[in-house]
Amino acid sequence: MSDWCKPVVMSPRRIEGLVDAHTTNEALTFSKHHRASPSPLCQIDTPVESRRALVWPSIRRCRPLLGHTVLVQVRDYGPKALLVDVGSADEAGALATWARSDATLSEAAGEIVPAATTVLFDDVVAPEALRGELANWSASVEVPDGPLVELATTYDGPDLGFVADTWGVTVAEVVARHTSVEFTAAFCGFAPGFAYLTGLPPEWAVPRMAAPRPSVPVGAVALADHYCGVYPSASPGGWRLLGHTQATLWDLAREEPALLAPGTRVRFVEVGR
Amino acid sequence: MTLEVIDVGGLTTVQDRGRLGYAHLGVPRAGAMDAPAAALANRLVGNPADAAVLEVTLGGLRLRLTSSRWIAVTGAPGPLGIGGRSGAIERAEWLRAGVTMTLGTPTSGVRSYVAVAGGIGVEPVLGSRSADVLAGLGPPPLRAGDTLPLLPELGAPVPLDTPPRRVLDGLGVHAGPRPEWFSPDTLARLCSRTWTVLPASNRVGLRLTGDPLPRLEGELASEGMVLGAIQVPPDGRPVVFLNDHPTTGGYPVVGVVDPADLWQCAQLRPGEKVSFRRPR
Repeated sequence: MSDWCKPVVMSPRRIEGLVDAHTTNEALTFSKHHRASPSPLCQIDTPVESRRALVWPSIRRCRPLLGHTVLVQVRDYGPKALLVDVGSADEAGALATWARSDATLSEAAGEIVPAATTVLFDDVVAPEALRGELANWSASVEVPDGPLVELATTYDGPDLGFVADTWGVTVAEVVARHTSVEFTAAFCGFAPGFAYLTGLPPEWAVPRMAAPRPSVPVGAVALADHYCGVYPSASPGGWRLLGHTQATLWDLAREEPALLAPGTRVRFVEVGR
Repeated sequence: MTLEVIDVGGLTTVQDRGRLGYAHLGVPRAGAMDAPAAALANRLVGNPADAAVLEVTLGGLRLRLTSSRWIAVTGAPGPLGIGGRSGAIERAEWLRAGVTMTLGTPTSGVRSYVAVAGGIGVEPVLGSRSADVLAGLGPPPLRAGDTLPLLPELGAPVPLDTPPRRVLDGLGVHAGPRPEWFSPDTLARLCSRTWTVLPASNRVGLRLTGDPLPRLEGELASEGMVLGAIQVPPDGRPVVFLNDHPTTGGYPVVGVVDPADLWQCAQLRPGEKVSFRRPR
């Protein structure tokens, strides 16, 4: 089991809030009924009373009545899938990590796919039941840090000057900024093992190329919008190239083929040309 | 114990039920496009439903086996030759070692499935033997001269009633997740028009043309895509995402083809008409 599947740690504030809000007899009856088949939330090291509140399935429906905001919007996506809107890629990554760590949720969906502002739950046998389970999610849930990967990077990309001009700094400062950020692999897409890395502040966003390059070499380290990415294989691509790494991003011989699976933390370390 | 490819016509690939559970790493699902036809071919020769078969686009396949086995051809019906005689579609046929099986151009449909007792035994990649033309995972498309390993037979074929398939009567469509990108009558418009299949259609998507569907301008933040999702690009011409579809996409999805009707997308030829209807 990789770090990607570690149990979620809930913040004490979150747990107390739920206990405060819901202390009816009905709720306790329901949670007793469910204790026979323990939710993975019970792995959390919290007092028994708190656990009851966490497995109570009607929390979400009550929230608007209690004057709280509904934190996620769950959309129907055909007969076998749900799409959950969240606020950001980081939140999507957190929700996906939380869902994967929960035995009920990870059983309920064949695919859990975080993206820029959404999480897709696909190949779902019982979407309505899953919708109820998702009610237990809140953006204030804290998920564990993923593993840290350091990528030795040679900054020799053809778009270093463009990025420097866009940011209004020198090329040396571009490298200094890029190596100073701790990125997080928020989601994958485009190609197997291509991770969208978040961590750049929004004001450092850079536009994609108007027309993509017909071929970007494997290992190219690149920016587009406020994402950083590393090409796991040679392909066409419109991202701005900063340099390259020798690391193998995608290797089917590894147990975890994607080096930068969602949740992984990433630092770029400059090495000479 | 191998299958020898003598000649291929259109795209011919190894497919099973697909590569499930890796979409979060950007890995498409792949798998047989006409899944019921592939499952039937497997049942006819006594294979489990997830055994790997050949998916043949518009016929043109010639092969032989190094040991005698049961085979079955399903899906798009093309003329089947077993040595000097003609064989039957949707029936187990005995293919003796060294005898050539030929599959000609189908009279209707696009994709035929050839199951061999035991199943194709290429090395699985991420739990599947399927070829994925988008991500380049799994065995490459077949070429003349290739040899494919076969797995041991599991049992004799069982006689099966094979009821005729439902005729193509339109694709059932469920509402998509992004109604705010379209006018309220867009699903009704999708269902009231006739669409024409474009030649650019492939294992990634069924590309359609017709009276364009209006939608908001701009692009969505990339979001997860499902099998059968009907994306509407800025030009308003819908694309139905099929087995090798990218795992995320940035065009809004107006609807989702009912899973029970997806096989029809595998069998529509360029130039053919197709319509959508609300699911029964």
